[in-house]
Amino acid sequence: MRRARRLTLILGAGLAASLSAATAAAAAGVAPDPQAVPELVGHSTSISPKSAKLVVDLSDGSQVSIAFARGTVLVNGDSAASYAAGGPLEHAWRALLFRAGSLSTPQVVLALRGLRAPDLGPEAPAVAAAITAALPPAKPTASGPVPSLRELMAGPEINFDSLNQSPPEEGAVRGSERNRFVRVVPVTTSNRARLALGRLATDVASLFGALVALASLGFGALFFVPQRLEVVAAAVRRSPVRSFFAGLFAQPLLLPALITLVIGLVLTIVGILVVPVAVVAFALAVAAALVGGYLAVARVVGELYAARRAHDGTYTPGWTAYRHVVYGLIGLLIIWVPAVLLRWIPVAGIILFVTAFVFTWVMVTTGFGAAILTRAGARPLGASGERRAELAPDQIWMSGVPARTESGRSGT
Amino acid sequence: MILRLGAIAAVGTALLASTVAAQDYRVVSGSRLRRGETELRARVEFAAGTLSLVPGEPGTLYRYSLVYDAGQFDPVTSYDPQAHRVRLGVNSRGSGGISYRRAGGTRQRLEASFSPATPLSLEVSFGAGSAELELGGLSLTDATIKAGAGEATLRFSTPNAVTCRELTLEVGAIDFATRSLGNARCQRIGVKGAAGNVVLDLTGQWPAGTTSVVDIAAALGAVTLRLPQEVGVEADLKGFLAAFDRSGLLRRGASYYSANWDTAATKLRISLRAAVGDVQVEWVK
Repeated sequence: MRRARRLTLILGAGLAASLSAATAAAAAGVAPDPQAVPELVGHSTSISPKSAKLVVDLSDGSQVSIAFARGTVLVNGDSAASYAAGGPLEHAWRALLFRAGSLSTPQVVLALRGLRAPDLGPEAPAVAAAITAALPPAKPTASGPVPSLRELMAGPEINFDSLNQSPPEEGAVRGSERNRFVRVVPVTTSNRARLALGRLATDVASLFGALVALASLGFGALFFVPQRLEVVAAAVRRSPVRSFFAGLFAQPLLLPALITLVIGLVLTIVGILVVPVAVVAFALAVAAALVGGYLAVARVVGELYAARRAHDGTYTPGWTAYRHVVYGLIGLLIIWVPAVLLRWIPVAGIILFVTAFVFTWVMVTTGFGAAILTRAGARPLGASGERRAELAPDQIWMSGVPARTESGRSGT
Repeated sequence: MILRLGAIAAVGTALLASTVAAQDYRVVSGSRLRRGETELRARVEFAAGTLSLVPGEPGTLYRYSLVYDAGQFDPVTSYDPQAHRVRLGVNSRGSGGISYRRAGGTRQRLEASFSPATPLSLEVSFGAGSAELELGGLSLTDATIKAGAGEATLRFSTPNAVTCRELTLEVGAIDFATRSLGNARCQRIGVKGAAGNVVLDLTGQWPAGTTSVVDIAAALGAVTLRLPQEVGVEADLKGFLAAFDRSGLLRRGASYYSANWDTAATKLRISLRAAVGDVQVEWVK
């Protein structure tokens, strides 16, 4: 009982003391304990043509974000006030944020007071009040004087148009004596045209580079393996549809074939060591078949263009074959010209690109199929039949297929 | 009439298309006050553009200003207050590949500064473009600079405030020039270069009475060593199809030595391995 009375007395005294202290502090105008208020420790800004955002880091780990976007001031993601988009208040906000990287966080927060200026618009006081209410008070620091908003607005402007379009030597950010505000300048037609022309030139150069590269490979193929290229080309010429379908059905089998190869090597135990080499060799073989087949198709196309038909399986000596390959490559790649030149057109450009891609894929598939059918040019298409025809007449009876006489062939 | 309509439609479509294709640059910036941090681990990753690193104000832990192409890159600006780790730069979108042509034409730039009062462990990965790194006057404890293509300059205009453990330079096909590496006051400097043109300026204020190690491995490129005359130099040269300029160095056994090697208070041990390249030596007073 005595202990309870003693406890009541202590609590009462403590409460009275704290109340009197609070009253005295309020009377004297003393600020609350600074330990209870988080300090400003950092900030970051993000500026785009559509929005400008400031994020302030506080010492307790929390953040306060303030964004101007499409006429609305967002504080921590919630709408806090509105402003006239493109007006002086937004320009002042962007000017401050653009230079916030060179200011300390207290300097930025103290500079925000300048947003209250009535000449920034009738909404300025309300916006400034919403912003300052969201932020803890800033103490002046030794990092320098607080810049006035007027000074910041009179400084160099950020120009997204120049950032996006002009050469770097001209500078992305430039000083302006005429424009006091940071402004988002619309993209000009001349800059658009310049940019589009630059891309067009690059694409044309890339296409020409592809032609030169393929022509070089064609030269190499004709120099080192001319007979094989001719055999594959002959297969394309003789059976283009069959070659296409052979290539079409072979493509999905490539991966299973590789996996089978690897599994087969692994099962032999000793072959495990050869797996990396086999994978590389397989990839090289496929690449060679694809490129070689495409060159063979080009050879046939070039031949058609030159209206010169070579005999099946015969090698055309000299530069004629190479000319045919180059003509054919030009013919095959010319479909990319409209795709490159008109690529900038939103829908038509895509259609042209897809058309060129599909056409090229069909040509590559046909060449690939011809390469498979001819065992990479090692065996001419229909070689078995030709060999049978080469048999002597007195040996033909040995074949399972009944031989027809000359008179029978001619129908007499 | 039809032709005129067609022409108007084509021009309109062209304007629309070029608007769609325009680059989308953004600006981000920020800073953080120094609040008694005992160290800062900074990682700067900048794929392409213009990079500038300088010492900042003592009271500001770090500060940055980044202009980036939002169509190609995402900004990286993060700070971990527990680990005292800051990451600045850009990350490529998609496959991460960027052609040199695009890198050369970009208006991207990153300007960053770090407090000279906080011990700094710095790692810089620079892809392509141009870089100006002024690290003099910082409190650099160690640094790794990786530079891909373009041109870059690394300066230590004023001495490092602390002793640096190691400075590692990995450079690719780039014109990479250094100035006053002695001011870095590093115990070890490692250089790996390939297909580039590297100028190693080893002048500056090396810590007196110390022997520092410089390891250089270069291939398919040119290396120019700018050596201070007052420092004793021992050079171990190994090469394959490489031309060494041994001017000012005397052979003793397997290594080469400067004339003042035995008397110099401050010494440099240089290990140089070069393949298919050219190594030039310039002595600086």
